[in-house]
Amino acid sequence: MVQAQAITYKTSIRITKTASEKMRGFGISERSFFNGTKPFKLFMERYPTGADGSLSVALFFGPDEAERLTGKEEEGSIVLHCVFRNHQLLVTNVTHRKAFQSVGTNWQREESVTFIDSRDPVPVAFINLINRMTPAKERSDYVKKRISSWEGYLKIQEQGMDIPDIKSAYSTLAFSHDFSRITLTGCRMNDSEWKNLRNLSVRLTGIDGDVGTVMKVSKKIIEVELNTYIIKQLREKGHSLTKKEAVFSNFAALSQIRRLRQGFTNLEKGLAVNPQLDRLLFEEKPKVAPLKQMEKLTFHNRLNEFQQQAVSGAMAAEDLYAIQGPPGTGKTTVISEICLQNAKKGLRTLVASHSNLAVDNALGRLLSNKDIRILRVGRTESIEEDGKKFIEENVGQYWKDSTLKEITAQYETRSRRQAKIAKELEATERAYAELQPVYESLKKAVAERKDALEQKKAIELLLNKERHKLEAFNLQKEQSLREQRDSKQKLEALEAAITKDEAIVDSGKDLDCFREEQQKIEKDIHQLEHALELKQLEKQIADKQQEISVIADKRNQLAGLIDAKKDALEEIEGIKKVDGLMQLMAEQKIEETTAITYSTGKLDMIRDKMAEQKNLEKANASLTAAIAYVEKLLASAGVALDKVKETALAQGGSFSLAEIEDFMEKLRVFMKSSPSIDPAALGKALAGLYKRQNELWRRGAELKSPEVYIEDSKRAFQELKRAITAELVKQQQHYGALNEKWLIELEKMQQELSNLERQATPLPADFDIPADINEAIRLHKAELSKLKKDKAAFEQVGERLETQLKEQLAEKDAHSSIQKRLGEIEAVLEQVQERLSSKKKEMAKLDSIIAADPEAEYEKTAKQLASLSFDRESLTQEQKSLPLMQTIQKKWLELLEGANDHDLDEIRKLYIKHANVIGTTCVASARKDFIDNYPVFDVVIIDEVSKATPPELLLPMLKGKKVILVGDHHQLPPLLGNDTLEETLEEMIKENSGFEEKRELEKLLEESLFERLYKNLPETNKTMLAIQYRMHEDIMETIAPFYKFDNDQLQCGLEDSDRDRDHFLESPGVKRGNHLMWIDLPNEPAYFEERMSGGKSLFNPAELQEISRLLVELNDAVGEAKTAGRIDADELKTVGVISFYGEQVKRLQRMIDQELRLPHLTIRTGTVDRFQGSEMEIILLSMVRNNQNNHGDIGFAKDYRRLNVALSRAKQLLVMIGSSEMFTKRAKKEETKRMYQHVLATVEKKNGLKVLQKG
Amino acid sequence: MEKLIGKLSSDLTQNQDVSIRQTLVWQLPIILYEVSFDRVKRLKMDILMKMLLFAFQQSEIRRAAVLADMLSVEELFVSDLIDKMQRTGLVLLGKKGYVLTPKGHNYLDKGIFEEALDGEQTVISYSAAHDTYSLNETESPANDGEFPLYRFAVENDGEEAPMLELLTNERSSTEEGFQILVSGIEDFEELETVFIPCIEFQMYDRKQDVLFARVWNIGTGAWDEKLEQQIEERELVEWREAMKAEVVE
Repeated sequence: MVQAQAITYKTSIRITKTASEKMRGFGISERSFFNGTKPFKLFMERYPTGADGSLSVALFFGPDEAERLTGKEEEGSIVLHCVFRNHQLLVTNVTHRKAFQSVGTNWQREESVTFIDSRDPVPVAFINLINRMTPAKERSDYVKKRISSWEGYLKIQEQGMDIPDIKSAYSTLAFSHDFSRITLTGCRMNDSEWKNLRNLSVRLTGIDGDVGTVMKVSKKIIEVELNTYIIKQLREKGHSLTKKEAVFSNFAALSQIRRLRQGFTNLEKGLAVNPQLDRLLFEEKPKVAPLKQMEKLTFHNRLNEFQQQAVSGAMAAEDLYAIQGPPGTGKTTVISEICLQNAKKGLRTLVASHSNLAVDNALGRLLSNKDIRILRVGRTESIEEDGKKFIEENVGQYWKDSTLKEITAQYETRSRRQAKIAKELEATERAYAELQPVYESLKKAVAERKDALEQKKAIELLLNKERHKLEAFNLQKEQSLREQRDSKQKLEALEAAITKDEAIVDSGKDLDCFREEQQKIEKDIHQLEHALELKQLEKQIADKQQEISVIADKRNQLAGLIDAKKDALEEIEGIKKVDGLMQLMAEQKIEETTAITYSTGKLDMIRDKMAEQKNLEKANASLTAAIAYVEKLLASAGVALDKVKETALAQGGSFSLAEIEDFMEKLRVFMKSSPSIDPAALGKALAGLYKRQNELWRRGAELKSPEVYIEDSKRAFQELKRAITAELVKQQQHYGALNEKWLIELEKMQQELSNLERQATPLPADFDIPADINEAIRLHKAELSKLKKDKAAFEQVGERLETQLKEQLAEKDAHSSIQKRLGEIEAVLEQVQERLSSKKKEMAKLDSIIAADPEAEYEKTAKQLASLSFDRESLTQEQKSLPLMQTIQKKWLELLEGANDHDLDEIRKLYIKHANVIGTTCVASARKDFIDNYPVFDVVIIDEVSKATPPELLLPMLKGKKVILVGDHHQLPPLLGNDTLEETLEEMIKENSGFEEKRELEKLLEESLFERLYKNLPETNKTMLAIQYRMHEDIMETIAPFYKFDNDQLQCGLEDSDRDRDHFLESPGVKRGNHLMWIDLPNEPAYFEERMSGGKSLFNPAELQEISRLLVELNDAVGEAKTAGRIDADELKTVGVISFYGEQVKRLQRMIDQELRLPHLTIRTGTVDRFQGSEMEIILLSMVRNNQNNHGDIGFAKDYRRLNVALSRAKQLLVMIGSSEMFTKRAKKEETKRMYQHVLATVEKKNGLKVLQKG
Repeated sequence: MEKLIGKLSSDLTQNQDVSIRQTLVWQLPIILYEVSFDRVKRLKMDILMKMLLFAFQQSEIRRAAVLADMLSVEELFVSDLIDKMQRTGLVLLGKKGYVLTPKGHNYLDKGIFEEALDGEQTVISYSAAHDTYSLNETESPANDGEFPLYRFAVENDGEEAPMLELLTNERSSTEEGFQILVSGIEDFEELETVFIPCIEFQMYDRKQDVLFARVWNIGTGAWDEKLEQQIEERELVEWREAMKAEVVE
C-alpha cells in the first residue's frame, strides 16, 4: 500500500501553546520527539491548502510510534496537525485517533522522520515532499464525485429495503408439486408489510436456515421459492411443524448492500490495495502502468494464440488487464492458466464472480495441479457441486483424491518402465560404442583440417605479398609503357614540326618582300577608303548648294517686304481718315497694340458724343416749337404758364430721346384729332413738354462744345497715326535684322561648300573602283594581317627550328632509357608470376582438405555422444533409483488409500494455510471474516464481469494489486434479483414508484463498466479470445456480426465442425447435416402470442405445440441412432429448451414434465438470461413474439445481447421456433430487423428453414 | 393407517387448487443384512508425516524438493512438516540427509502399529429401490404381506463396499490420540426382507394443470422424493391420458 522509503528526513518542529497543552493531556513529553536515534516511522497526510496558501500536513504516529511519545502502550494513533509557517513546521494541534480508523491509506505516505530541537528552517526537500502530495481530501472528493454515478445501482436495490423483520403466524403451508415452492396462507400483518414482502427471505420456525425468498404475494397468499438445500429438511419436517410461524427478513439483502456501500467508502478513503484503482476505474482512458518485461511463458494448458496472448498479457500487466471472451472461447482455460502461472510464481489469486454458480464453474474447471491449492470460501449451503470439493472441510479429501490419482499414474507408468529401462540402457550403450570410433576419426579429420587452415593462412599471406608485388610492377610497367608512348609521340611531333619549319626556311622568301607586299596592300586600302569618302562628299556638296539657293530665295522675299514697309511709311503721312489707317493696318498685318486700341476707342467716343449733341439739338428744336405752340394755345385759355412750368420742373423725370419723339408724335396725333382742346389736357401736355425739354437741356449741359470735340478728335487721330507708324518701323527693323542673319548664314554655307569642293579631289584615272568597296577593304585588311602574321612566323621559325632540334636530341635519349627499363620490369614480372602460380597450386591442394568440413559432423557426433552418455547416465540412475521410488510410492499409495479424515487433518490445515487460489463471490469478498483472513491478493481475477454491477465488481477489485477482468459485453448485463436491469426499470416506471433518478438508471443501462474499460484500455492490456470451440460453425455464423467491430473476428476453432459437432440424428425434419434451423410459424392469429390473464409475461401456445412435436421427434431420432449404433445406448442427448419469456419457459417445463416421455433426452429449460454461461448439445429457442400490432414490438428479443446469448448456447444443433416475418419484417427498428435478417439468411444458406404450413 | 392417510390428505389439499385423484398404499421391500466387521485401534497420525518418516527411514533425502517430487506433494507442505518434525525432535538433518531420531523411530512404529479389536456385528438395511444402505437401529414398523408390493420394486442384493463405507462413516471413533477404525467386513448375511408400507397420493393441481405424485414413506417418516420420481417418470403420461379419457367420457 505504501512504498517503503529509504530516505530519512530531518526537520525541526515548533509547538504552539494549544498543542503543548493537548500534548500534556495525552501524556506526551515534548522531549520525546527528540529522544533516541531511531527515526520515527510516520504516515503523512496533506491537508488542503489554507486560504492564505499555507501548506499544512497531518503526521500520524501509529500505535508503536505513539508509544515512544507517551511511554505507555497505545491502541490508537497520535496525530500532529501541522502547518508550515516562516519556514518552520509548526504543530498547531494534537489529537488522538481510535485504533480502527485507518492509518496508511493510499492518500498517505509513510516516511521516516527525525525531529531536531532547533530553530533551523525546515529542509526544502521535506517541504517539497509534502507539496508534491495530493491533499487526501482532493483524492477522496474525486472518488466521491465519480462513484456517485454508481449510486443508482444501490438505490434500485435499496428500494423499500429498510424493513424490520416481520413475524407472522400462518394457517396453512402447501408445497408445489415439485417441492420448489411453498405457499403460505393466513398470515397476518399490516398493509405496508404486505406490500414489502416481495424478495424478503423467509424463515419457518422449526426449520434451520432460510427456507427461501418471497416470490409473489397476491390475495394474501404468499408464494415462496425454496432454497434447494432446504428441500430435504422440508420433506422430512414440513408436515409436522408444531409452531406455525414465519419470519420475513431483509437482513441478507441489507447486509449485501451495506457491503457494497462499504466498498464505495473504502475507495474514497484510499483503502484499495492498488493505490491507483480509483484512477483506473474512473479516468476516461485508464492510465495503466506499462507491462513488465517477461520471459516467454511455458503453458500448462493447450492454448491458442489468443489465449496465450491473454495469459502473457495478464501476467505482464501491472495493474489491470481485460479479457473479452465470446461464448465458448475458453475463458476458464485462460483463468486456469493464469492461476497456475501465479501459483508457480508464489502469488495468491482471488477468483471472484457475481454468483456462486459462476465461481463454482470457474473453480471446477481449473486444472488439477499440485502447485494450485484451490479453496472455495462462502456459505457452504449456497455452494454448488463443482465448488463443494474446494470448501475447507473437503479440501483434504480433494487433495487426497488428486494426489492419489497422480501417484497411481506415476506408479503404474514406472512399473511398465522397469523392463523398458534395461532395454533402453542396452540400446544406448550399443549406440555409444558404435558412435565412438566415428567420433575419433572425425576428430582426426578436424585436426587435419585445422592444420590445413593454418598453412593456407601462411600461403595466403605470401600470395598476397606476391600479388602486391605483381600489382606494383604491373603499375610500373604500365607507366613505362605510357612514357614510351608519349615519348614516341613527342618525337614524331617534333619531326613533323622540324620538316615544316625547314620547308618554310627554305622557301626563298625574305623580309623585304614581306614589306613591299605590305605597302602595296596598305596603299590599296587607302585609295579604297578615299573612294568611299568621295561619294559622301559629292552628296554633301549637292545638299549645300540646295540649301544656299533656298536661303537666297528667302532673302529676295525679305527685300520685297522691307520695300513694302518703306512705302507704307510714306503712305501713312498722307492718310487723313481713320478708315484709311484701318485699311493700312490690315494690309500691313499690324497687330493692335494698347496704344492703337486706346486711340481708336477715344476716336469712337468722341464721334458718339458729337452725334448725341446733334440729336439733342434736333429734339430741342421740335420741343421748343411744340412748347411755343401749346403755350400759345394755353395762354389764350388764360392758363398761368409759369405755374405749369414750375410744377412740371418740380416733378422732374428721366426720358430717352426715343420717348420724347414718341411723346411728340402722340401729341401731334392728339392735337390733330381733337379740334377743341381741353386746356387741362393741354396743360398736362405742356407740363410733359416742359419736363422733357428740361431733361434735354440737362443732358445738353453735360456735353462739351463741338469745337472741343473736333479738337480732341484731331489729337486722337494723330496719336493713332503715330502708333501705327511706330509699329511699321518696328516691322521694318525686324525684317532688316532677318535679312542680315540670312546673309551671314549664306556666307557660312558658301564657305562650307568651297571646303567640300576642295576635299573632293578626284581619284587617279587608272584606279578601278570595285562594286562593294567595304568588302574590298575588309579583304585587303585580312590579307594585311595574315601577311603580318606570316612575317612574324617567318621570323620565329628560325629561332624555333634551333630549339626543336635540340629537343629532338634529348627526347631520343630519354626514349632509349625507357626502353631499357621496360625490359627490366618484364623480367621481374615473369618471376613473380611464376611464384604465384606455384603457390596457387599448393593452395588448391589445401582447399580440397578444407572443403571437407568435418566440424558439423564432428559436433553433431559429439552431441549425440554426449546425449547418449547422458541418457546412459540417467537410465542407470533411474534403474538404480526406481526400486526405491516404487517402494516409497507404493507405501504412499497404501497410506493415501487408507487415509480417513483424521489422517488428512494436518494436510487440510496445510492446504488451507497455503491455499493460493481462493474462490468467492464478489459480495462475499467483502465479508468481515474473509477480509480478516485474506486482506490482500496479488491478483484478483473476476469472471463474467459483464454480469456484475460496478459496485459488486469494486469489492474484489479493492483487494487486488492487479485486477484481471474476464467477460463479454456482447452478452447480457447484470440481473438485479430475478430481473434484468431493464425489466426492473420497466417495472419501476410502470409502478410509478417515484424514483427520481430514472434518467440516471437509463444511463447505467447504456454503459457497462467492463465495456468502457475494455474499449479504452491500450492494446497491451486487453485481448479478445477470438476462437470458439463450442458451436458448430454454422451456428457461430449467426453471432459473428455481434463481434465484427472488435479487433479480431470470431473464428471457429473446431478442426472439422461436421465431425466434431455431429448430432448423429436423422429424422423426417432434422437431417445429419442440419445444425442450424428455423421452424417458421406464420404471422397469423392462430400462431399469435398470448398474454397471461392478469400477468405481464407472454407465451405462445402454437410454439409450445410445435416444440412438443419436435422434442418427440428428437427423442425418437436419438432412439433410432442408438439402435443404429451411432450413439451409445446409455447416452442421453442434452437439450436446452429456452425462451425470451419466463411464462413460456414455465409452460414448456410443465409440458415436458407432464405430457412428454423423452427417455433419450436430458432436458433443461430456462430463460435466455438464465442460460447465459451454459451450453447444450441441442438448443430449442422459443421466440414467443408473434402479432400484427402496428408497433411491431418484439420486447426483450430486440436486445442484440440477449439474441447473442440465445444463439450461442448450442454445440450441435440450434432450432429456432417462431415467426420469421415477425422478427425480420414487422419488428419496429431497422437494426433489429437487420439483426434477425442475418440470422434468417444464415439459416436459409444452411438449408435450415422449415416453413410451417398453415392449419 | 387411516388416520395417517387422513392427516396427510388434508395437509396435501391445503391448497384448494390441488386435489387427490387416487390414494394407494403399498409396501417397499427392505433387505436386512447381518454384518460382522473388524475394527482396529491405531495412533492418530497424519499420513504425510507418516510417509515422511517412512521415506527418511528408507533412503537418504536432504532436500524437501526431492521428496515433494517423489510424493507429488507441494514442497511447502513437506518443508512445513519437516520443520515441525525437527522441532518436535522426530528427525534431524544428518550428513547424508534426514534421519529419524529414536523418538522418531518409536513414533513411526507406534503409528504403524495397529491393535486389532474384537469384531462386531450389526444389522444393515438395504433398500434396492433407493439403492441406499442404513444402519437398522430401530425396529421398523414392518407389515409384511398386508399391502401389495411396490410396483417398481427392484430385486438387487446388497454389496460389501457400500456397507463398509457406511460402517467406516458410522462406526469409527476417536479417543485420546487414538482412532478406532472399521478395517473390513468379515461377513454379511441376508437376514430377512421386511416390507415398509408407503402411502402414494396421485395428485392434480388444477390451476397449473399439473399431475404429480406424493409418496409418504412410513419407514423414514418423510415424503420420499426418490419414489415419487420413479412413479412420475413412468406413469405421469398415462395418468394424463386417463384423465383426458375421463373428460371425454
